[in-house]
Amino acid sequence: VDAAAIERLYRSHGHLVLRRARRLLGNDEDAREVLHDVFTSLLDRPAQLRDESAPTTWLYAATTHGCLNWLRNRKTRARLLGDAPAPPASGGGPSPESTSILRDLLARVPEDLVPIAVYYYADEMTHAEIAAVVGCSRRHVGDLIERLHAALRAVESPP
Amino acid sequence: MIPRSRPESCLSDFALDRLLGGELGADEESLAREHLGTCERCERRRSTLLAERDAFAREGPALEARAHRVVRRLRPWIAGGIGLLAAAAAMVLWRGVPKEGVPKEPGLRSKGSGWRLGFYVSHAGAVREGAAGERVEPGDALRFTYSATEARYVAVLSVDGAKRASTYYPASGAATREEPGAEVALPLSTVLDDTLGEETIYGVGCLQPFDVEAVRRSLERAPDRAPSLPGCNVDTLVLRKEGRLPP
Repeated sequence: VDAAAIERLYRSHGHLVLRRARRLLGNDEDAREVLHDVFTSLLDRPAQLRDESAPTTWLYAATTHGCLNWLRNRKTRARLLGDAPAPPASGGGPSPESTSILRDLLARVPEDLVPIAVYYYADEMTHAEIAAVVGCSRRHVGDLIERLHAALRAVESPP
Repeated sequence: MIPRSRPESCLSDFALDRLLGGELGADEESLAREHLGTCERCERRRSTLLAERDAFAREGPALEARAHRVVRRLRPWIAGGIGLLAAAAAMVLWRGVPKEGVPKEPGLRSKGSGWRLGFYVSHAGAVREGAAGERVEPGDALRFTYSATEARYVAVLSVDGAKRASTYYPASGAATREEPGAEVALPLSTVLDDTLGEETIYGVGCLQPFDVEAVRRSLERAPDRAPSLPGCNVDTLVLRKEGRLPP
């Protein structure tokens, strides 16, 4: 995949990365950063896109990981900045009506299950679709969703 | 928890995105199109996604081939660095790290080269992101960052208001090889001295080792000429160092 092909992919598929990042992060500015990061990462390492005939599958996974990394980086930097917190990147930060699905999930389920929770609850994908994006069997997806439900039950009904 | 609202028979956005991208197999596509013919909900959603796709293709932001910002490494701070006094600056510890945010797009930058210099200013205990034309004061500390799409030998040099050339990074010796990354903080900070006026900072990123002191000497001889080295990119920032305002 050369740079021109990635540029074409950006034009034809960038919208879905932006849409999902906006939804997961609840913030347009952050979503644009993730959009940029996903595609510049691909420019840096085109081999990531192993199956050129199925870019949407790769982009779904890359967007989910990009959003998770974005939140992790923000948390780390906020902690390290400590007594000198930076002002928000844009005036006012996220709008009041926007909510971060990802933040909500991170508060409720173990981190390794967050991508599965995103695909299952936010994207409402089928088991087969999740298996394609995650790169595992449908049976394994079923097991992960069972674990996810158990984790959510534990949070919602603590002993 | 987020409720799942999609009826089991309906198509997910993933399926619709793949349909729009022409990525479904023949059987899958046939089933999807059959469903769309009978399901107003899914057809409406397909139209929405199609409109979004077309709008993005027409008006979406440009994909800028600059260093990406996913990876942010925090280098170990150099312990006991205080007192490395240079002609124009002193290197000290810096406890802050770059804040998050979109780097500003100041005027004088080398975009598209895969090499970019950035900096943060620590003033009176507060850290802010710096940009070209930034007003700084004697005693402010600068922390430099670089973004590079490939490994570079890195140096940061300065020509101050008195036309004196200094090396800010590395503290001594040859340029150090730095790994690719985005907004990677260099491990030393610079405390500004009391020479006021316009100060020009040059971030030099080379694919091969180079003689930093030779670059400094060339700046000393021709302070208004940016360094030019084969196989190197130079990112330039201009700061304005002003005296402290009276209390």
